[in-house]
Amino acid sequence: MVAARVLAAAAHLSLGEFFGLYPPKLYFVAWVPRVVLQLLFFALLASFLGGHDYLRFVVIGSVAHATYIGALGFTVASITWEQGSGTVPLLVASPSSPLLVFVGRNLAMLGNGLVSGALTLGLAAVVLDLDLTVGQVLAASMILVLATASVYCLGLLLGSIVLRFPQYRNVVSNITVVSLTFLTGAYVPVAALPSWLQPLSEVLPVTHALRLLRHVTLGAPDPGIGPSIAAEIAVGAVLFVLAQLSFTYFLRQARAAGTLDFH
Amino acid sequence: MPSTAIHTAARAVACHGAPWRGARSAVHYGPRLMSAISIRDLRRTYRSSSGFFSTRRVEREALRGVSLEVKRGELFGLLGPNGAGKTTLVKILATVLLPTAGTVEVFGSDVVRSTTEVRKRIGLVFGGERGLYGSISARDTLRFWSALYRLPSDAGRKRTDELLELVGLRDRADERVWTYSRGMKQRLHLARGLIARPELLLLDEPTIGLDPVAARELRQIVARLRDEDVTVFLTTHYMAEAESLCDRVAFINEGLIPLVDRPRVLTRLASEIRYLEAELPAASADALAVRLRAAPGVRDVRLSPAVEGFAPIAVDADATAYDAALQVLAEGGGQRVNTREPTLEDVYVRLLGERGMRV
Amino acid sequence: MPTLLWWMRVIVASIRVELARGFHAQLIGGALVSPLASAIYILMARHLGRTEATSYVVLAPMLFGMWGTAIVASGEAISSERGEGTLELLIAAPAPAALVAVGRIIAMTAESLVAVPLTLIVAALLGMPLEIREPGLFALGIFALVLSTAAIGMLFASLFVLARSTRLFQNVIGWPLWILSGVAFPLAVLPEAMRPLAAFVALSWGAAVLRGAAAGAGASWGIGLAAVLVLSVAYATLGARLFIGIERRVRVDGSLSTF
Repeated sequence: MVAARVLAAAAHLSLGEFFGLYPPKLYFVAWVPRVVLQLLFFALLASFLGGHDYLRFVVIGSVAHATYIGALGFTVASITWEQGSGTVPLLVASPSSPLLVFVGRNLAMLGNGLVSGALTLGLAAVVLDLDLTVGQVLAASMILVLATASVYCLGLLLGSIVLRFPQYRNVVSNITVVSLTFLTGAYVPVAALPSWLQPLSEVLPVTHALRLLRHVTLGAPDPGIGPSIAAEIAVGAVLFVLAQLSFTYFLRQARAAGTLDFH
Repeated sequence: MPSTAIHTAARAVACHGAPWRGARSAVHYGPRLMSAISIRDLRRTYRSSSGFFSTRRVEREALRGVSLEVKRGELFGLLGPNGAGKTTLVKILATVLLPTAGTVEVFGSDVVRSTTEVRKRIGLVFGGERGLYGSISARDTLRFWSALYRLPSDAGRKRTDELLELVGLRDRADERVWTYSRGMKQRLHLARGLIARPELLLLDEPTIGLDPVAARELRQIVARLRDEDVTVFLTTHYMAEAESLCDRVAFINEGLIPLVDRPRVLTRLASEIRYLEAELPAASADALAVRLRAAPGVRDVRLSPAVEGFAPIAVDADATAYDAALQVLAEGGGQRVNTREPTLEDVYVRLLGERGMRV
Repeated sequence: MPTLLWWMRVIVASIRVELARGFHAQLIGGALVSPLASAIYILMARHLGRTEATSYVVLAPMLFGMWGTAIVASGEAISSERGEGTLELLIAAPAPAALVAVGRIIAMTAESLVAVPLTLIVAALLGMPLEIREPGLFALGIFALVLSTAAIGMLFASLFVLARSTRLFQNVIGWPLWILSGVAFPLAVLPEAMRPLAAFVALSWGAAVLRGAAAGAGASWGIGLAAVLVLSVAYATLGARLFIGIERRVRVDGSLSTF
């Protein structure tokens, strides 16, 4: 199928770009420590503020935080690199759907989100001395994949908006990560948020997945497995559709206004 | 005052070893006799290690012993293909790069030891897309650099207006640089280079990437600088540019400079060869080409594919073989036979072989 | 033009360019991220009813915001000079390139100040206001920390240039500092081996002074302020030394422009 091939080609490019920016040595020297230290920071903070239960709560929440920085830090950035390297008009002129290419171009970020999340989860298991069965590990992994995919869709949507304002890409990226951190129940249960914010949390990526993750790894109360999965998929799907609409809108605007630049 | 003069001379000798170099205050040694640029046996090697943890050390000799003198007020051209060492040489003159060995002096000041002195007297036009702050206007750009080059505020403002007028950017002066075309950016680079009224202007491939009209305009501005007693050192790989603009031209290739002279003198080097061009009927073109190649005194024959029944042919022949070659072409039914003037390119090719002057 | 006046002119010119470039994006970023980051810490404490930890959770986003801006701004400044290819031209100009850096840093420090009032406001709005019993001392502490922000910005800038790839190190360099700073949580929470390192992070001294000022029990504030100033001078000196070394390196290696 042509679409699959386009996606694959774009993904291949994405990986190349990612490893160009983060050659394996540098990944271990710069990125991995970042993920580890972030977990360490919040674990220490949690142990200062609360008791053992709260520590467990926060450490698992850190897994979500890791996927945010892994998947969002660059999605937004690399889409603007596309803009910066002048390849957008080339994409538009080609017969493939630009959206497909954009989706594929950032798959490395999806990968990075997964790796960062998995790394944190592994560390969490060690730090909290969790005794997980194989079944639990499998379940947790699948939840992680679902969560990261969901975040990725948010990244695509943000990326499409940031195309119009490239100088704000870092700002948008930072704000999103920070907001997600407190809105999705990573470090504070959603129930503890102001009541007017809670509905927002329910429609953000990872909120549902995180509840599931805590249930599986910590034995937290069952949030309803079926409904949670469905909700998470729904959130991701809606974000994906919005992203597509946003891209199409951007491209149409740009073609009309003549702002599809080669540099 | 005699005693002061002697004192100055003594100091000059002590500092620089030879009284005719570097003594800015030496009135009677005549600083005007000083070369603008004096390069002796310059070498530059690049060492790079790849990767964050250095795995491989690669050495590249960009300049392998270059010597050169550029006179004050000259418009001097450095001509060579990419990778020949042009940009390296210019960067060393600009004090942005250190030599590995050899001496380089600008108006008598050593680029390594008297860096600040040199920087005060030079202007750089490094050109291209980079080197400009995209998000500010041309006017703000020039005002920023005027501050860095120690112009007081009002002088800076006046100079900015002057230069914007000179390079023809006055109308778009307050728009952000990222909206400018390539040619406009290049002109801004030139204005920037001139901001402090430098005594020496260094231009690195100033017309590269410009369309012919824009390139010609830029060259005209550069040519006019000579009237203001500005020494210009320019690098280029366009033969025609070097030929038309420069007082003297140096060829550079693979880090060495084999030849320096006035363009006219250089092209005369190639004048013992005659450059014939013609169009031969397609049917007999190949046979005639073979005959010409075999003829004594013919150095090169280049036959191109036929277009509309005629194949263009170029013949480089010694003066002695000229008449014979001309006859072959005429008898073979050649059309539009003509002899062209030698150009710097011909000199270059003769000197350095068919490396080609294409980018 | 006398030298000192010229230097001032260069610094002002550099600030002007900075204002036209990244300033608004970073200012807005700082203005929006600070309150959001505050929300995390404050909500955590509120959820657990730990009102006695107020000074920790309010000062953390404030001080991390200040130094965080230094990290972002100096990183942006370096990578944009590299990207736009202006670094060489700055070196070739007769003005000491360090002055241009100073101008950028002043602009950046102004950006970083945004975090201070915003954090206090958000804390109040979220129901955990920080009561400041000795506002004079508090202001003094902030002032000292602002100086430290400028100084650490210089140091970061030099480190970023040497590190070749700015963005990667921008991400990682903050976290060890936040952990060792004793700002978000007391040093007692850290493993014993790590605690002495906090003495090198000016934030730890500054935060102690600010906490003292808030509680009205600022006993050894003199030592704290002095420590912040001494460390600031140390950061700035190290940054300046590195900077000079960098210029040398650019000219010897011919690197940086070919990043």
